[in-house]
Amino acid sequence: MKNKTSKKAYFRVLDNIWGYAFVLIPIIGLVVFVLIPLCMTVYASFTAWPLGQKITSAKWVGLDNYITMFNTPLFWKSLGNTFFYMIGIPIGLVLSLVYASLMNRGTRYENVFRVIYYTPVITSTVAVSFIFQRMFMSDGGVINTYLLALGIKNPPNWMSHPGYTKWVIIIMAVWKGLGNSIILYIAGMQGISRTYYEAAKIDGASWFYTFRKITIPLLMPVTFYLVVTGIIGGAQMYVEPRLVFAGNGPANSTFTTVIHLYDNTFRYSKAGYGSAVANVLGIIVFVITAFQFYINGRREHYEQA
Amino acid sequence: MSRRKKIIDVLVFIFLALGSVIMLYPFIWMIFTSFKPKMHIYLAGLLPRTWDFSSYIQIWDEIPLVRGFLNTILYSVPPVIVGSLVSAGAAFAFAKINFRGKNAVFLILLSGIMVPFPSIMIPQFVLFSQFKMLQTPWPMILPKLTGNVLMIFFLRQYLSYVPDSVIEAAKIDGCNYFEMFHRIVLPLITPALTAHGVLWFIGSWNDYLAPTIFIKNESWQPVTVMVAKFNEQYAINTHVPRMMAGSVMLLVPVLIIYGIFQRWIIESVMFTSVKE
Repeated sequence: MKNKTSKKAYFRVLDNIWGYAFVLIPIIGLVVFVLIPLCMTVYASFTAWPLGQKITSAKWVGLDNYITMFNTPLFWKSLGNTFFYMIGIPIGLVLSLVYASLMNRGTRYENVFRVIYYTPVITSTVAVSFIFQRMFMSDGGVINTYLLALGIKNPPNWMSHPGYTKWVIIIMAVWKGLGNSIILYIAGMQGISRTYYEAAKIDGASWFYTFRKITIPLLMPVTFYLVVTGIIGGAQMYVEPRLVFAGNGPANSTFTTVIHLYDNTFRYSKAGYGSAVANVLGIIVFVITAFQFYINGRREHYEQA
Repeated sequence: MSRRKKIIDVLVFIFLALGSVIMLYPFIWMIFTSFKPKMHIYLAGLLPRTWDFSSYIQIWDEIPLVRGFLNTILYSVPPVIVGSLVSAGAAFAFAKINFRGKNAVFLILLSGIMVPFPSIMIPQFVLFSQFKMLQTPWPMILPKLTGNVLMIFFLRQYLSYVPDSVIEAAKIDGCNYFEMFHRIVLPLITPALTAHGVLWFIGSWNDYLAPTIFIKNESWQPVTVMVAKFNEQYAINTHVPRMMAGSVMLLVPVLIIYGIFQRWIIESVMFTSVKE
């Protein structure tokens, strides 16, 4: 008897050792490449720190960087633009939901379409940015050539009018991300039990009613995942505006917070200020994500009750 | 009823086919434009009137493409293989080993996803510079070696479909966890591991922001950075065919790999995605 319990205890110790052995390297990675840098960013944001210097010798300036930042119109502009780009998230969700339901009807050709729609997801943002930059050229660009052919008299000046530039980025982001959301929605739809639909059919519910009352609510976890990853990705928007508009765009209309952060840190070497911007970005992402988790958690609770 | 279904099928097919044109058109346009002479870019028509290969000769002459591709392979193949195995091990532990504080550790790891790279890139730059690693391949390799949290998340999900009895049986047979991992778990998750590994590889292949910060000298730059520089230069005098030749260089390898693994990738993205 005693032997048995000690053997059990022995196995439990062994489980702990093996468990931590397997997860040790990712934890080290998290500490070295995420947590320590995060603490450094927080500290650095309270200092006047020229990038080339040692951070330990940087002068403590309290909230100065934050005050400067909140008084910098360009910072607010960049933040506004970054949020504006997130309009792409709901557009992408609606489109991908439509396409996913059309690609999940059990026909033979669906697999081919899934592969086609997923293609932009795996392609290089650098390559794609240059393609879009040229396709949306105001004069002689393919897009406007087609719009003219369709009878639209004054197609927009996509590349030079500040009211349209952001839409080039949004269209590109939606186009590039659509395949991913479609595949995840299809996976979600296949996870919904047939019985719900059969019951709805017996009750004589219309296709649209079923879609609204069964499909959409049961796809909530996928939608939640897509919104969270969309926000985290959208907050980091950098490459697309940088390469499509070769800088900040007309009247800084495509300028983003990460470009602001990058320029201040790596071009003007104001790493303390850059860190303050980085923190605001991190806090925004964290708050929105945490809020999403809170809402999601409450809904699950409600559904279980 | 059946006729109505057939009509709907045809309509859906047409709708999806039109969408496919939009999804693929930019790539087709890119390929044909890269073969046009500079003077012809404003002429109507998708196909080049004369096929001109000079843009490719130009890019080949102007940037060290071979070096760029070798650098990119160095940054995206060995680190991703090692990192994928590390992630698989961690996923196995989170799914099948009962150790103290498991859920807390998992949540802490997951919270790392919420930290956007731009928020930590300044200190990373400083840390790499302290260890004299700037302008070397290490900043592009080291962070990948410690695994990928998203991959751990997906593989853990995948492993939760493997019955515990398989593990218990192996335990009774006297297997230790490492043997279990490489004899039983690894073969079981190979399809998912490969697919997510390929996705991660493609992501590393396409990486742009990190190398622009950590590597300024051309000899260690990945091909994305080289091509971006090339394209930015020709954007100024609107030499569109050269820009598109640059984009072709970046896309073709990825498209070939995607072509080989497409079924696999899409199936395992679907299978390991958010389920519950």
